[in-house]
Amino acid sequence: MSNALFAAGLSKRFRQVDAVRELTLEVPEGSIFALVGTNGAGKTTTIKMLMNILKPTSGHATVLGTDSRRLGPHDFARIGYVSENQEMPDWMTVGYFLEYLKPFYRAWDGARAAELVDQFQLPRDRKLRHLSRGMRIKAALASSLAYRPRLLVLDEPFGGLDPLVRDEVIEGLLDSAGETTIFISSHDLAEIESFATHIGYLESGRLQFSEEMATLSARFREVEVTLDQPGGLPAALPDRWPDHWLRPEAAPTMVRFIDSRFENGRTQSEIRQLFGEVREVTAYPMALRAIFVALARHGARS
Amino acid sequence: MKQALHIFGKDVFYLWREILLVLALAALFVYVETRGGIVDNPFGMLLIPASCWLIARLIQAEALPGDKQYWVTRPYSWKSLLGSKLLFIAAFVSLPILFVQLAIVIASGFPFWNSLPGLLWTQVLFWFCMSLPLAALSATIAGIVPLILTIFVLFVATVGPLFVLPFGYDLGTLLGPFEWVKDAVLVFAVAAAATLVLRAQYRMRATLFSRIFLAAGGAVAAIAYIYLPLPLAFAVQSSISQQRFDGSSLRAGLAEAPFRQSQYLQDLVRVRIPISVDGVPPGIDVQTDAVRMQFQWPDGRVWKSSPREMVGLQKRAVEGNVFDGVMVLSRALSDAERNRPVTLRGAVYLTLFGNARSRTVAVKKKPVNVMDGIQCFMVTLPGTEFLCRSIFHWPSGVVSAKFSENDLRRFRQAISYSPFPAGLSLGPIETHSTEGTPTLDREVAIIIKEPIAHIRRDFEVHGVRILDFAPL
Repeated sequence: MSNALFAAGLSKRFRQVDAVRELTLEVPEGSIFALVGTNGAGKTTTIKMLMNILKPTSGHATVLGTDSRRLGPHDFARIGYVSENQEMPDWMTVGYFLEYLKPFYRAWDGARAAELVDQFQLPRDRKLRHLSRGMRIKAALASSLAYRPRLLVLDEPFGGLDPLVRDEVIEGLLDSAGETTIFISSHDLAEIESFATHIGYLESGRLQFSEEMATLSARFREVEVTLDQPGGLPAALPDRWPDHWLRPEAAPTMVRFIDSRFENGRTQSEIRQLFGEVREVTAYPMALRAIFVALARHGARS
Repeated sequence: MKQALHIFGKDVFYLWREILLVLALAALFVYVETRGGIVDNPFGMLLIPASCWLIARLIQAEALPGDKQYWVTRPYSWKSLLGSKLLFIAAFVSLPILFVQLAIVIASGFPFWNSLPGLLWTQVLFWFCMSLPLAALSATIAGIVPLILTIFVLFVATVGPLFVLPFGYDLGTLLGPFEWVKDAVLVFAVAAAATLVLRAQYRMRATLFSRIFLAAGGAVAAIAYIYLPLPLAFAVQSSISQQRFDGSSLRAGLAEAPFRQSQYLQDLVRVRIPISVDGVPPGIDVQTDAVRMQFQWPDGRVWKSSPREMVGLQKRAVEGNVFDGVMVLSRALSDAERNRPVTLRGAVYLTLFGNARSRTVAVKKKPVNVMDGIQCFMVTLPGTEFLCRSIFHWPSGVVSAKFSENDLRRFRQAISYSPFPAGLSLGPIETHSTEGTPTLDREVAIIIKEPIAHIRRDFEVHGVRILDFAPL
């Protein structure tokens, strides 16, 4: 499968601040790739470099096979970009906005545009400046989906939206999934979990991992180890826990941690090496939000 | 082209109120201008700011600085976008100005073909001096308010020094009839910088580079404008003018009969230095465009005339060729050294006028076309005055009116040797008067002598004393 987006060693420095560091990323075509990270992790900067809005300090990226620094009108005719704080032509009505953009795209589908307006319940005659935040996002999304882009890039599209609007937006996205690669940055992990196929985690400008959602869910487990008897802990707790055990906690009869490389056999073996025979090992699957929080806390501590 | 027209259409729809305002002001300007009677047409003072406002709003409709604009990730071609903006400016700024001026040409009865170069050159000047620089500024500054503040700061930086410089402090050079060289340097430098910045901004949105380039270009242009030396301006003038006179017979020097007149201003003293020009053949007029002089004392001390002094020297009398220059000296120096012999060195920049052409017309109250795009007429206000007017450009030569055999009067105007067919002005008519007493329906001959040579003459006089010029 070819990549819709590819970045190698992409970095951006603003004066003394490294916003993005050596980011290497692959986004397969047809995927829904979620880029998650805390505020200031570098998600927006990454997206802006990919969209040729900002020039990278070093490294390079390709978008639909084109060097991101050379993205031009021909490429943007196949790319949709929606950002939460995008400046729109506020004086235009929704209807005029769509009509105005139509001639820019050879693939513009008028019927699809009308369908999106209906689906998102957009008021055609209302000026963009008079729309609520959610409505504006939906208008931007409608204008980006109407030409069936090969790549749709969304920067924090769910910020501040109420659940109903969020559902509508996701529904609109899912209708396009498959024919369109979707690259989305978001804080809204619960929503991301429901539809993303791939995920990348960005922390302090560095990409910590990037993988398929299923793989991520499979390798993260909250593990609870019940020891054989009270006082069953080794006389001295290990100085160093395994690196992939996050947030280890020990109580007299129990040890709890998050295994970021869970594999039943291997995890059992590591536990035995540290604690000898134990009464019970329970591994709980984790929600994306819990994984994200664990990673963020682990990152903050380290 | 299709995309450019599409964006153009959107901008017309977006800015229709501003367009209507510009068109209404243009119509009112023409109405007032062709009726006459008002010296400063107020609609001209409104039309230019309204046009500037329109340009700024137009460019910022697709703002270039910043990273949040929706359009930067849409399939806009930079050439189409820039093309649409230029087309819009041509349609709603340039064309109204063209029609305004064309209407004035027609209403004033100036010959169209004579006026055409001026009409077209005015368009170029408005592009160079207003549309392009303003578009470039608007393309590098985000938001109307910061743009207005920047223009205000630029205005203060330009005009401010005039108010804060200490008395007697001279900033820059005065070039008299060669002043147009300065203007041309400024206009072309600003237009070139603005064009490059516009291209860079639309092509790459390199805002930081554009701002630095614009600031540096503006600074270089301003410095060149302020300090352009007279010899360079004279060299430019000489190189583009046909030298149709052999000036080997000409001599310049210190006139023998100086006016002993001085004027004290705080710690300075102004003295008159008379310059004589000899060897001028009959039928040729001479004008002393500028003089640069220096006093040098035996101990090596030097006092030079300021580059703002001795420009466009007045002829002392109708007969003869003695011109009075005014030079400012330090009062302390003048008081201490007034009696000591000193060497006076001077460089005199002369222009000779000849190839006289004349046309006789009857004096009328209604303007009569004479020649070279000049119309003349008589007005009876409280007194009677004879006026001639030109459109776009007053002739570069000496224009005189001969009312009778012994009554030849020169028009009062500062000559410019500019080769360009127009200056930067919305109201293109320039009117000058002359002394003399015209009589209705009697004949008057308008005589134009054109510049036939620009010549520099240097001189050196030993043993003069400041006392010769400033006896007090």
